Amino acid sequence: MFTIFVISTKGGVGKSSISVALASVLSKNGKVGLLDADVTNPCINILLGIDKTEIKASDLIEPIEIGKLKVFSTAFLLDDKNIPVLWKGEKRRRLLEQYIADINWGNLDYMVVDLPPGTSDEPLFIMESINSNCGAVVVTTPWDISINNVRKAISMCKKLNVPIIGVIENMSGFKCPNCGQVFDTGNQDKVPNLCKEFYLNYLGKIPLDFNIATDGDVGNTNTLENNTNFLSIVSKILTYILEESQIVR
Amino acid sequence: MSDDLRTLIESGVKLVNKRLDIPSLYKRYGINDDRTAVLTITSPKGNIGFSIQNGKLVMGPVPKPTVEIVVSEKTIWAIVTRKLTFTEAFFDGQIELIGPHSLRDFIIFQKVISEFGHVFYGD
Repeated sequence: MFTIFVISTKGGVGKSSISVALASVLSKNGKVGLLDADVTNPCINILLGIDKTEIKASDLIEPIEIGKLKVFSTAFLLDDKNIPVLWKGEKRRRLLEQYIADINWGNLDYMVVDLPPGTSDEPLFIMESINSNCGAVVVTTPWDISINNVRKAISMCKKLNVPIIGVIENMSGFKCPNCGQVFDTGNQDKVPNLCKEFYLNYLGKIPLDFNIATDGDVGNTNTLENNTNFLSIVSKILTYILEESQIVR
Repeated sequence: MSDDLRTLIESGVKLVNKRLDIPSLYKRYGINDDRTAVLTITSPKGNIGFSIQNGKLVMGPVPKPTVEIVVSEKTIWAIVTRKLTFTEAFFDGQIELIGPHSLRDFIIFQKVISEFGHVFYGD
């Protein structure tokens, strides 16, 4: 099993949409797990259109299965969407420990972990716990407010010896909902330059598309999954994993 | 511990044993027989609680339970008077589940309470 961490220290850059779409695309050709590691603000249930669900627990906790995709999120435990999770670090760490050990993930080809923003408890614990056969996909928008933040994510991965598969430039350019033309919003060179600075793979850009945003509200990531730029990014991620596994062999 | 709560818990335990088939509950949710749970209600005046063992609820603790649920008297009152749900109390830190598989046990308790909580709610 290869674990893909979807990381950005900045919130709101599209990590969860990318995680769900990536897991969904990968599950067309393999067994995939998708873990929403954002304990306090889980949202992949919304992107997958799962409103209320019955979680089964005997010896192990059963994840939700959608085809070849197995999913787990704290949102599945909350029987009211207004309930906040008011837990400090140690309790969140213990919960994540059980998300890894006590969920019946079975034999997976890939595990996609949607990490919350920041560099503290959740990303730190998860990346320390799963530290082999893994890689990080860094997500940023092309603006300094995000780029300056994800520098920390990149440095965090380096400090924890988590290989970086590459960087996705999300919300880059605006796709007109009427004519389909993508308008440049400037800052085109910033993410490629960041990649050059850190010697990282630039995986590609995804435009700010009205349909990607509205898909989420109706519980799918279809537009993103069918976006040619995104599919090219997935292909690059798979090539990286294949090359890495050949090196390991 | 207030006398009211002690009476409520003792009566609830008797009612559960009389009305509910705990072994079938174990079977339905795939709970192993070797699992033991203790609910401890804490109060400045002293703790009270009950355990689930051998298909029965019994007052008092068992040695080395697989999970211990610790909750204050104030929180229990809030739950039985429906000002607070079990889930809400768990996630805002008013209920502690102590044990290596506390999440799994939380899910089981969540189901059991949603199904049989009426005994304690007085419905």
